Amino acid sequence: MYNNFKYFIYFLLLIFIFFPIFYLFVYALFPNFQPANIYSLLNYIALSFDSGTVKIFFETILIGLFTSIIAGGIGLILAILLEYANLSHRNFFKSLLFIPFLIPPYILTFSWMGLLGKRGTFTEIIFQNIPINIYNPFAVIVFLSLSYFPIAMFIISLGLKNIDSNLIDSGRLSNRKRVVRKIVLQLIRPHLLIACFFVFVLAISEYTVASFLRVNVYSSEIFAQLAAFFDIRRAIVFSLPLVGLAILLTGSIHFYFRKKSFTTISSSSRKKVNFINLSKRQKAAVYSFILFVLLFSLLLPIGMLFIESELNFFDAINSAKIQIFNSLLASMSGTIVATFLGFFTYYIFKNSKSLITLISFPLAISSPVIGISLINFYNSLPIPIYGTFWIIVIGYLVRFLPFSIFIFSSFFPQISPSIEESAKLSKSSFFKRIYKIIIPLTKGGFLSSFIIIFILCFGEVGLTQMVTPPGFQTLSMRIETLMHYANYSYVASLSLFFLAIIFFAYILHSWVYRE
Amino acid sequence: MKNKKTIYLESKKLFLGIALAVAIFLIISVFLFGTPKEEKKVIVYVSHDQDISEPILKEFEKSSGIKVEALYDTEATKTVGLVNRLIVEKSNPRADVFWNNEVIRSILLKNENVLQPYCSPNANDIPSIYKDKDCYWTGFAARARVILYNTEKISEKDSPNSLYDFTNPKWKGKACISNPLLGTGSALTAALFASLGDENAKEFYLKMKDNGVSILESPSMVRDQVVSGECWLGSLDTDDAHDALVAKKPVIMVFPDQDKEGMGTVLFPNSVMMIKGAPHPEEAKKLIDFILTSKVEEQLAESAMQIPLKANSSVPENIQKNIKQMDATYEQIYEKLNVSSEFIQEVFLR
Repeated sequence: MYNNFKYFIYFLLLIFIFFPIFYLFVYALFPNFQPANIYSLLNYIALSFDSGTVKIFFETILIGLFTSIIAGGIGLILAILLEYANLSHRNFFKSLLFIPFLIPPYILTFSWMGLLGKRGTFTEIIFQNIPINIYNPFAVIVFLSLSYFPIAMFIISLGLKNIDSNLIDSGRLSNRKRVVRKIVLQLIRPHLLIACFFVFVLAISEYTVASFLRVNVYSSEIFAQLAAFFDIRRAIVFSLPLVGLAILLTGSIHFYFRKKSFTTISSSSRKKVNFINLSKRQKAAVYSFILFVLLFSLLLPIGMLFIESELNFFDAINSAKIQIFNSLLASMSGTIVATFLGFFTYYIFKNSKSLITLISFPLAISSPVIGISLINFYNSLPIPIYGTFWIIVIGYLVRFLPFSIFIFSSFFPQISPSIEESAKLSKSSFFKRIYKIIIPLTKGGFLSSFIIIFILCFGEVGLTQMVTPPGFQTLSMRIETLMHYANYSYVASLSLFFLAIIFFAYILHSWVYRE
Repeated sequence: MKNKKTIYLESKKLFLGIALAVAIFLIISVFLFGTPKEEKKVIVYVSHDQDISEPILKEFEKSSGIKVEALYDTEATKTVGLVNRLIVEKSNPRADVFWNNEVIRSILLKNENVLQPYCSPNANDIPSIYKDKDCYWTGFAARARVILYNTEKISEKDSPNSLYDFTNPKWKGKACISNPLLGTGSALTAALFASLGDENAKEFYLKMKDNGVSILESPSMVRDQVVSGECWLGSLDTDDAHDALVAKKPVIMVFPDQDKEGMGTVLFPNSVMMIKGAPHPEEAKKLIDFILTSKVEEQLAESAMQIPLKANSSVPENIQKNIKQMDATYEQIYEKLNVSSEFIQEVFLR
């Protein structure tokens, strides 16, 4: 039974993730499927990368690198402080600091443009005589870091929770700096690296922020190949370095950690330890830092959205009722499918991490290219998927399955293999073991995956607009359209409504998972 | 501490709940999207603004009894998403009709073998320059590229009346245009290349760059920045300018280069076409016939200041007649699309 199920999961991954993208790459690169074309293909690839493209590629890598360093750094500091420092209301701050991740980067950027952009409130009122320019790569790095630090914090926190508290207790004989440096940082290296990796690939494949700030990034080059030149082949060729980079990075991470085990938890050693005892002054500094981060990533943008909305909520929501329903339907379906497939993929391949890391490669491909690969593949199949909303669900699966797999990778190690082994010895069936042992013990993973995938699906726009069937529009598409029609009042109102929905989902998650 | 049995029962409840939710979702989605209904319908891809095209399609639905399933492009990807999609779909077409908000990509689709000729009887009174000679696409209701300037920033005696004003040092850092790589911005660039010749057009754009012209994402953003005074003058389409004029903002719209020696401006008709292998060909023809009626042109003139092209359509008073156009056919403009886009990408966006 287990083997049959394993092959079924193989089949699902092939049909949903690998085939569509592989098919497009082969279709675009070898149009006649002739190996003899390899020289002309290599020549074509070489000619595609002129000095301008190469320069933008490296600039984009730098943007991704700095974003991952800043977001990873903020995430690391906050995660350690909120896990180990003697601060009050730590869970409240954790929840609050996660909220900026609920705001899609384009909405965050839109609200910052409302403050500091050319039409900005602050620009007009406060900075009239100060030359302030947010239309540059540095601003892209800042806004992306403000959007992505919560995901880094979340991933690192999961790592911190897995550290055996006995190790920290024994380390407390030494000073706290040494505990952080010699124990905590050593043990959460995989989580820190994976957090930085996720932020990096999200940053290099994101182009809406750069587009708003008029910065040309590599994903915009790919978009331009489709938008201005209708050259799908070149767009695919331009995607190759990003895919190569993602595979190289995931491969390196896997290689680096191949013989190391960083999971130290056992059921008796999971307890809270406060080994960072801060003085009053230090506490004040930490609270100021948290407030500073919250101010820039959450309070100012949301405040700005309120101002820009001109309190047009009722009209704006009324005009987008269908899109709201569609968004809920597509996002919830995508969330359910991605969570369950993520769960089973991790369960089946937990000992083959290279395969899991390989699944992460679609993260580095820009949304329009994934959209075209899905259309190209599913439009040629005789099954009625393309043209229905299920194609959006599959798109969400391709984009967000790695997140679900990663979330489960943090929960599975907490299950002692002996529990399942004893169930096997008592002749429990595979599904019974899953249903009665594994699922109950990874309940937290399911809840985390549901909320995070839902948020990501709900905010997705680039891929959705490429594959959406006729007559089907989501809320994020509606917001994007209104943004370009410069209907800022409706954009802000709908963005706030949008945030209210995902905030509600998040609160629900926090309530269910309060233990 | 909860005992194991309680945790197990709680988990069981939770996952039974999830399983129930999954089942309900699947049932709802199958009912909503999965069951093919035996009804007359037509699938139309629309790159025209949704708020303007949707009422027209609803009217067709009402008058013909044919259900319209429309797919709209977002402003950011205007024509781009849909054109790429039509190209990728051509082996197994899903759409019946494409209502494009311009013409140049319609020529591209014809060359990509995506279209099927259909000579609508309602296109007889449309001048031949606005339609394909083999009926692959038919133009109607055009927009013109115009200049909009802010009257609080620029006095009437200084008013710009030529695209060359964007290179005038007097307006250094004060002018803005929509992205010349996308949408009608790219069509204007290609038109300038076709009309002025490559070298002159390149020189013109280099001078604009030196003059600090800002590139904004869409014509509607150009309009808003001119209205707010952040840009003093901007190049955009008549329908975008129309919104500001209707709202009585402090702006004036000018058709550029209309004097005797002027190069003229460029008109971008909407175009409608039938997709090769359309799943609902008869319904597609009915929709195309409907879109090509004078009533629709007049409606577009009223709602979006689009210039009627049919001889039988009445032209509202606020719309300028006899607009001097650039000396280039749409096919010539299409031929210049790649070279002009490559130049713009190299000079402005890198």
